[in-house]
Amino acid sequence: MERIRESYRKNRIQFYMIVAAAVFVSLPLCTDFVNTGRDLAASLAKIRAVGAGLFHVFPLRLGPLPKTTYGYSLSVFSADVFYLFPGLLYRLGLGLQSVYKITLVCANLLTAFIAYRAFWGITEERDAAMASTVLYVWCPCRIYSIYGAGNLNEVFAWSVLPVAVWGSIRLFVQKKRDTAVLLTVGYTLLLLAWPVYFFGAAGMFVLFFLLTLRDNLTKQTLAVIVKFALAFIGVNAWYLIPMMLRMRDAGAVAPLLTEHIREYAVYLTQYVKIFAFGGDRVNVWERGLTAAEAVDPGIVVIAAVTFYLCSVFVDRQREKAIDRILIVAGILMVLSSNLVPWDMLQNKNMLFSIVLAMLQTPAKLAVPADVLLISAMGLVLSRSGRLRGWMVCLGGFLTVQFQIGRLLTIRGFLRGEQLDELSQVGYHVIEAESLFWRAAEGLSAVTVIGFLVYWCFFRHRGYEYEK
Amino acid sequence: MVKAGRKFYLFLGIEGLLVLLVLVSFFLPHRTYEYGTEIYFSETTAPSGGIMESEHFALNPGSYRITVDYSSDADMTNTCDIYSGKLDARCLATNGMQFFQGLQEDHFDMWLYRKADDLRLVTEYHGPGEFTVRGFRIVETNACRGMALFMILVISLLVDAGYFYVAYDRKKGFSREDKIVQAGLLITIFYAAYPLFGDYILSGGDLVYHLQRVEGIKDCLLHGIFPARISPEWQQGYGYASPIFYGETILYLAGVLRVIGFDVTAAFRIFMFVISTATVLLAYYSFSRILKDRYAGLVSCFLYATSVYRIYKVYYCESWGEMLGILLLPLILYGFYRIFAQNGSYVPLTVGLALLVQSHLLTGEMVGLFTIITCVVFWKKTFEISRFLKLAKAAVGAVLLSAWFLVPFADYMLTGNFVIQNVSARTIQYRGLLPAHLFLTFFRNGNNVFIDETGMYRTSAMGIGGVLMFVLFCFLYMWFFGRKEGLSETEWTASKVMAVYAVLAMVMSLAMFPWDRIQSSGQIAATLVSSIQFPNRFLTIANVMLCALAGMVVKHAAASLTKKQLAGFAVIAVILTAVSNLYLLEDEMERDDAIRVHNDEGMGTGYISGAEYLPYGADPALFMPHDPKADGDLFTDQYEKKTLGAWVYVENREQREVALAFPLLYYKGYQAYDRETGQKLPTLSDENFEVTVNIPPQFSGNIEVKFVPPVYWHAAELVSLLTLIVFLWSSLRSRRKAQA
Repeated sequence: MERIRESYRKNRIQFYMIVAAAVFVSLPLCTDFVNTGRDLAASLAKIRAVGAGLFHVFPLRLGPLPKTTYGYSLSVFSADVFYLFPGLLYRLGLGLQSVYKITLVCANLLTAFIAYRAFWGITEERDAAMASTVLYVWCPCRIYSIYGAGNLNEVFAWSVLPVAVWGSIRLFVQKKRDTAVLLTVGYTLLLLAWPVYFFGAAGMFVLFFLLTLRDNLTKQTLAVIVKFALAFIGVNAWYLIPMMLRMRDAGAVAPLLTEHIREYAVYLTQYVKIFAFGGDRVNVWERGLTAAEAVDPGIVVIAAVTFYLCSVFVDRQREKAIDRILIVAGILMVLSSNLVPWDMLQNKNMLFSIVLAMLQTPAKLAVPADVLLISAMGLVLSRSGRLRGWMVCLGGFLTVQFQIGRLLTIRGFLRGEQLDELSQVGYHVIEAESLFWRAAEGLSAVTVIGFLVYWCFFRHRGYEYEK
Repeated sequence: MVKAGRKFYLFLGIEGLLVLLVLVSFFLPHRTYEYGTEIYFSETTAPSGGIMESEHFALNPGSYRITVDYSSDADMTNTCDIYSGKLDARCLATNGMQFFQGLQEDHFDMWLYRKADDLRLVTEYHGPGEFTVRGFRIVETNACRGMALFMILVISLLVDAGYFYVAYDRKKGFSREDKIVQAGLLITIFYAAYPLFGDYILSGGDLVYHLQRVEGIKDCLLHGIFPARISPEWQQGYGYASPIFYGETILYLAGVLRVIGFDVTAAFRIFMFVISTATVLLAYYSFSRILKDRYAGLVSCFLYATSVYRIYKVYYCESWGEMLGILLLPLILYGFYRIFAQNGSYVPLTVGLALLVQSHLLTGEMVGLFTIITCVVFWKKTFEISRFLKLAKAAVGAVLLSAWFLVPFADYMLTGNFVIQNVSARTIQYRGLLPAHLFLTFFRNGNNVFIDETGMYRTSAMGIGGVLMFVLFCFLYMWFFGRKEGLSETEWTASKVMAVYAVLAMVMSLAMFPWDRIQSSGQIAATLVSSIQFPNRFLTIANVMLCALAGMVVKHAAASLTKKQLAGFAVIAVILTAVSNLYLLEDEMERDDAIRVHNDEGMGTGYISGAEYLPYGADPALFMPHDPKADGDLFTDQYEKKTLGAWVYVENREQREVALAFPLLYYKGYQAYDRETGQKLPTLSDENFEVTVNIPPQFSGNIEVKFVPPVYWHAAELVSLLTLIVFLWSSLRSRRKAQA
């Protein structure tokens, strides 16, 4: 308790700021309606389905929609663990609108706290961590996921993504070897929140590894990676093994494949947009940038990164850690763009199809790129004597004001019964199909218990940053 | 000097090898594919229209020309295009074409970037009458190879330049100031060309008109015609004399890109990027030399490149004439400043004026007006011998450099009767702005330019924007309180002139300015005022003046404010720039439609905007391809439509002259000959201004109709060329002298 109190005392300004940021970004929820979004129906339906199956099946899994097309939310096999909370609220008798809104408020707060901890770990400085957290919570791409797409899986994934990013940076950039647990927790939570973001983050992990190969091809690093991989597979076996078994069926993968996938990749200029106009078009081929979805981390982040690049160009003041993060972010940005001939991978073989299906659209790679850019901005802030946290927060405030205003004023909305009607999508709870499933669940249970035992008896003293 | 190292020669070797490979590919045989598919439609078989597909065919990546053999009873209603079910839309670039009653065969171009095995020709029938496609032929072209060669050369150039940049930086090192300016210019270039980084064109008012101008240059160059005088394929092949009235010098770059093989959209984007970059660099060059301060010049340059007026004209209106005016105005301003304030060289003014005349006469008209005002106000300086000589040299030099354009222009204006000469009754005052326009900060991508009808509802972004108004108020404050720290006496006077001119230009853009009264004062005034069309065009003068003034204000601020005050000033300026200029830029991108034109046939050839350059009385709706039409018993055979001309065999069996009309729009210069004897035949225009040849009685033979520019046009071209050579030679010599 004393430790918590001490931590609060040291971080109280940051605490108020990030709570204010989370509350402010929840502004669109202070209405008597819910903005429509492409995936809203699926999100609501999942809440209903999880609520219905909550005390009947364990672990709870939702099956694919009977009527499959392609694209969002129609997961072949999504873990949906994070739906337990809204499902429980729904089961307790709250209306769908209230459940949805409470979930979003909680997700915003959770995101703020997790992000602060992660950015503190990355930047090792409170002011920079606070600014990064505020801009992360206000990230236009994230706000689009919440209020533009209405995809709760993405919202949950945004909450836990900083942990995975922190783990990767800690291992490969900060070269700290006590990262296996952090990585396991981060990537596990991400996988259970939204596999699509997990695959993006996994790509980021691989890129970091390749980029720092010369430095990190050591026994210690490889040992961390192996530990992480084993722990990750063990913890998630209950989900991964059944999913892979399902993957053998081409018919199950095919509906996830986006037709003409390159049309859903983004223009690089979308990253430097100043104003988020609240559009929701994911296919930018048809009408260009007209009403395109937001994929950028916010102009303030881009400005800070540009400031860093300019200082490298002018004064040759470079920092390896920032450079590495920016290189990986840059690669992810390019991969998310329509400059890459993604269409050459389409309709070629089962492996490519699975990769593309897991990715959904190249645009999803923008999410880890954004988090890395925000991390880089945090590092620039912590290293620069000229930039201040409040400056970037002020800039972020203006842009988020604009985006939220646009979202509230141009998008359609639904209320109470309309939401009930919208959620009549036939998700169903499925039970274990074979002995393999049960064995996988057993493996996961053993690993988690082992993990908890390790945590209780041999846990790390925590990462202390006193700057 | 920085010496090239081993790496450089390695780069050079790789580049040379790549260029060689592409060059060799030009000589590979062009693959040809014939398809005899018969597609037939009639009002009986398809009463409400129909779609039919050819058999599937496979092609390798490359560029192709598809020639369709057909007959159609209707003009421009039936169409065809190439489709693939498997290919990503980016990989198959073509817009197909429309069919004409008067043609039996026509073609269109296609760029294919992936191998495809399910291509098919899809024809759409919309009637009336019968429509038959007898077959089509696909021939590989060199377009893709040309593009590859161009890209390799450009990338090689960039790599080599980058190599020398890095080598120079390592050896001698650029100063901190150099690098800050370079970084600032890069950011400015990015924002100035922001909407061009998509793979499409933003729709705009005059877009198709200017694209047709580029196509005209391309067609002329491909047929060995230089300089272009009449765009041959415009108006369904009738031709349009836009190049004679509307200078196209700078547009040749876009035309060359089309000749190389780029599709319309790619050529547009490269051309616009080059112009945008040139605007930034020229603005920086001019402003930094006026201000004698590189940072202040950079600020002025950024404000100019991202100004509301520029964004509106370049990306919303796609007014290329004004865009080129915006490109050149800083240079002209610098030219005048150099002569009036520094008594320096006349070269910048000469170059600026010459290019302006050859790009946009209306901007030239406005510059002329402000030049007269300047000369009158500063009459003492104007009539100082050395200055007067420099001004005269600049004016005469600009006229001589532009003689190749001005002589044909004057020839047609003096001897012809065109629509443009009959619009002096068109008033402009009602199109003027409201004072509120000048004070707007949040401009949006509206489409209303007729303020008298709908007020400011969805008004177009006609104004100068918040940041430039802020600059003006800052300067007025400085003027009122006599604060001129940081500015020399000359700069202070220049600043006052700039502010006054800016205010004057803004007032002239308003609906309250008595344009109608001026217009009614005489025929010359009526013609000049009417040609302005929109008073908001005067904002282009206000824009350049205020951007230069911004640099002066920055110089003053840097010299007089504390660090904190300066930071506050910068924050206000940045926020105003973001919410005014950059907001408009992104709103354009957010709301404008994306257009992808690949082959010229895809956009049609009929659009001529206000039809200003048509012979007065011509009806362009009647311009449709047809065989030569005679008003008597005339046998014609072996008719072949050529670029700006035609060949045909004729036999006049009558005892009188028979008029033979060709599908060509008559402009002075068309002539007809007997190809065997060289006998000249009387050539004139019929009632709808088609080129008409009077065939003598009992005449038989092959005749050729073609456009032959008068000899004095060629003389004017020679004068311009000689002037250019002398100009370059003397500039080089004086530069060497100065260096020595």
